[in-house]
Amino acid sequence: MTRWGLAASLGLLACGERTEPLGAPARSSIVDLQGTPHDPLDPAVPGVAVLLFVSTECPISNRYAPTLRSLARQWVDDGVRAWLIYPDPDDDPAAIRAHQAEYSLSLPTVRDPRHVLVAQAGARVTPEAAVFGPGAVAAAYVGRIDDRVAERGKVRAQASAHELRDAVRAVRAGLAPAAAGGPAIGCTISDLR
Amino acid sequence: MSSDSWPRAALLAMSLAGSPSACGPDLPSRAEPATAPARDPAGGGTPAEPTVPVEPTFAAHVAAIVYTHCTPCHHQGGSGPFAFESFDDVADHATQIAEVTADKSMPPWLPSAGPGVFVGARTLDEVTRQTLARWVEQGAVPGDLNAAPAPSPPSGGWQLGPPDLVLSTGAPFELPADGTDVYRNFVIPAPPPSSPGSPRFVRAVEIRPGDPRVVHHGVLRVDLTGSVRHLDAQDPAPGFDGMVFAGARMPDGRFLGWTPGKRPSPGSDARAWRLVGDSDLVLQLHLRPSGKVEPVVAQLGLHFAARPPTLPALSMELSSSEIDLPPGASDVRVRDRYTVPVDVAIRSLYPHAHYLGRRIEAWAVLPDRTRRELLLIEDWDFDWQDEYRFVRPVRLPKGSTIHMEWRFDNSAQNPHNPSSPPRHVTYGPASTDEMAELILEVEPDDPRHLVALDEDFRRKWLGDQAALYQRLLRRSPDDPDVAANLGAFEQLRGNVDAAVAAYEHALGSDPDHLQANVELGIVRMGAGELSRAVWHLRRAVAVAPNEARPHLTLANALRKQGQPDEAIEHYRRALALDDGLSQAHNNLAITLEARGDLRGALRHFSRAVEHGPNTAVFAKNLARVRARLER
Repeated sequence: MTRWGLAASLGLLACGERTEPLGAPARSSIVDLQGTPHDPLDPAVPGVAVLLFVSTECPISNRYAPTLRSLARQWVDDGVRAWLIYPDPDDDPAAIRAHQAEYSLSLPTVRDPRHVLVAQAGARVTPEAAVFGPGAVAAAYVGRIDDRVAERGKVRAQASAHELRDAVRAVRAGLAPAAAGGPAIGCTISDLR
Repeated sequence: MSSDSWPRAALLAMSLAGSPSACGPDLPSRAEPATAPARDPAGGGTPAEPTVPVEPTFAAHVAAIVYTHCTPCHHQGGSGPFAFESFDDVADHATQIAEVTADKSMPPWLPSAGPGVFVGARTLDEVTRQTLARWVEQGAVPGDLNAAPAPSPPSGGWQLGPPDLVLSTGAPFELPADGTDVYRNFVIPAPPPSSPGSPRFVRAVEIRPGDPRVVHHGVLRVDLTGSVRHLDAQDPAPGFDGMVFAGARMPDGRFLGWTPGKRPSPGSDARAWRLVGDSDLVLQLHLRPSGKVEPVVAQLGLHFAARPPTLPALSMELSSSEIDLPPGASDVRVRDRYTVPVDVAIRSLYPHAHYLGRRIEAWAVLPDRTRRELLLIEDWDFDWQDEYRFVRPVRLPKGSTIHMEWRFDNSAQNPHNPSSPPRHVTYGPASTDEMAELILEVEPDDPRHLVALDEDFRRKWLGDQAALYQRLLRRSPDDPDVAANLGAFEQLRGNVDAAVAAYEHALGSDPDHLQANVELGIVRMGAGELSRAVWHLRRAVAVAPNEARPHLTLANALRKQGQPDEAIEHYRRALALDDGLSQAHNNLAITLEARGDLRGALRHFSRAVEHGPNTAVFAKNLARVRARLER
C-alpha cells in the first residue's frame, strides 16, 4: 500500500467548503429521517466516514444486515462514523424505520433521494460502501463489502475477502486501500427520472 | 387467478438480483416473439420474423412482457423483490431489468435450448431481450398508459381450489438471520383415513411454502419406514437438517415439489399416488437467510382422486458415487447409464449435484443407435435446481440406454466453491461433499411391466451401492460400519457368501458391532445354522439390551430352535421397548398359539393388525385364532 493523498485532504480540511457543479442537486437534499438536512461528509466532523448504500427492498442488501451490524460495532470502538444511505426516493422515513426495526439496524441514517452522495461516492448498487478519509471529498474506497456474492444470484458459503473492513483499516492508518477484487453485486441504484 | 389469464403476446421473465424468484407461468420453453409476427408484405401468408420495435413503449410492448413473465413473482407478497405492478414500478428498476435480462441471469432457467421442451420453461428470445434493452436506452418511454394492459391480480388462496385435506408443518421453524443456506426437512404425519382400510389416492398436492422470499424451493417425499420420525425427534427444533431424505421416497414414483412461480399441476386420477396411513410426508425446504430471523411454516393442500390410478410410475435414480475431486481440478467427469428392459416414457427429470457441479448432460441411445438428447445444463447452479417435466414425455423403446455425464469444477475459479482454498472433495450427502444424480419419473408403456422394470432397476441400483461400499471399504478397511453396509447390500442382492464375508469383516474390526451381529444372525438363521445365529444374536442383545430389534430377532431364532419360553421372554422385552413392533406381536402370538394360549394369541394378533394394518398375514392369523376360539 502507498500513502494516500494526505496533503490534498488536509488542504480540503483547511478550506472547509465544497464546490458543486452548476445544476447539481444541493447537499441540503440529503436529509435524516426527520427531514432535517444532514451531511454525513460534513468536513467539520473529524474521523473516517463510511457510507453504506442500502435499500429497503433489495434482498442482497438485506442479507448483509448481520454483516453491517458486526462491522458497525467494531467501527464504534475505532471512532469510525458509519452511515446508512437510502438512495431510493421511494424509501420514505416510515418505510426506512420499519426496515431498520425489522433488520435490527441502528446506524445513523440519511436519505439521498437526489443522489448527491451516490454521485459523490460513485456507488452503483445496493449494498455498496464508500470510505472517506477525514474531510475528504473523494472516496478512498468504493465497492463491495466483501466477496460473498460472487455473481448475480451466486452467493458463496462465506466471504474470503473482506474488502470494506480492510479498506477502513487502511484509511485509518493513512494508507491507500486496495481496490476491491470484483464489482459490487446487488440491486442497481436506478437513475432518477 | 389462473395463469391462463395472463397475457401471452410477448415473452419475458425476469427478476432481480439473486433473490429466490423464478418467474412466469408454466409455458412451453419455446420462446414466443416479443412482437406479434407480421404477415409477409408480399402476401405469401408466411409470418415475418419478429423484430425489435423501433420505439418500444411501456404501454405497447413492455407492460405485456413484464406482467406476463415477471409480475407472477414480482408482486406484493410474492417471491421476488420489487413489485412490478405499474409503469412507475417497472420504470424505477428499468436499468436493472435491462442488465439482468441481457446477461441472462434472469429469468433463472438452467437448461439449454434444444434437448427438451419443458413445462414452465422460463426462456427469452433475443428479440424480447433487445426490446427491453432498447426501451431502457430510449428512456423508458411510457406511451399511452391508458391503453396499457393491467396486471392480473395475484392469486390469494389455493391455486387448485379448496383442498380435500390441508396439512401443516406445525410450529414455526426459526430460520437464522445469517449464515449459509439451510436445508430443512419437515415431517408431517399422514392422518389415518376417515374410514379404516379405505385407500386414499392423491391426485395433486399444492405446496404453500410460507414466506416465498426465504423459501428457495421445496421437494415433497413420503417415508414408509418411520426413519424420518426418528430424526425429527432427535432435533429439538421443528424438522431436521440435511440434504438427504433418510429413506423417504417419491410416492409411487411421482415427483412432487415447489419452485417459485411454478403453477401446481392439477394432476389426474390416472396418475394419483397412494397415501398410506401411518406414513410421514417429508417436505424438504431450501431456505435462504434474509438478514433477519424468519419463522417458517408451510402448508400442503391434498386433492384426492375419485378412483385408483391406472398409470403406474417408477422413480429411477441414475447416479455415480465415483466422485473424487482433487483441489484445483477444474473438469472431472462422472457417468452412469441404464438400459431399460421394457418400453417406457420419461415424464420428468430432476438433476442433482452440489456446488462443484459445472455441466450436466443426459441423453438416450436408442436400439437403432440414434441419440436422443434429454437435458443439457451448461452452467449448473445448485441454487436453481428444479424438476424438468417434458411437455411431451420422451418415449424410449426397450433396449434404449439412458446416459448421464456430470462434470465438476473444484478450482478456485468456480464461484460456487464453498471452500477457499479448494479442498479434496468426494462423494457424500453433505453440502461440502458432492453428488451426481439424475432422478427420472418413468412410466412403462404397459402398466403390467412396472414390476419387471422395478426389479431390473433395483438390481442395477443394488449393484451400484455394493460397488460404492466396496470402494469405501478399500479406502477404510478398518471401518466396521462400511463393511456392515456392504454386507447389507450384498444380502439384498442375494449374494449370501459375500454378505457373510462382509459382516465377518466388520466383526473382525469390532466384535461387538450391533448391525453386523444382528444381520449375520439373520443370514445364519436363513441358512438353518440356528446355533450360530443364536450366538450372534445373544451378543447383539448383550451389546444393546435396550434396543427392541435384537430382542425380536433373537426371539425368532430361539422359536425356530425350539426354545419357546426364552423366545416369549425376548418378544415381551422387545415389545416393552417398542410396543409398535407389529412383527413382534404377530410372532409372539404364533408362539402363544402353538402353546395353546389362544386368548394371549388373540390379544397380540389384534395388536399386530392394529400396528400393521397393511400386512395381510396379520389379519389372516387373527381371523384364524378367532375362529378357533369360537369353536
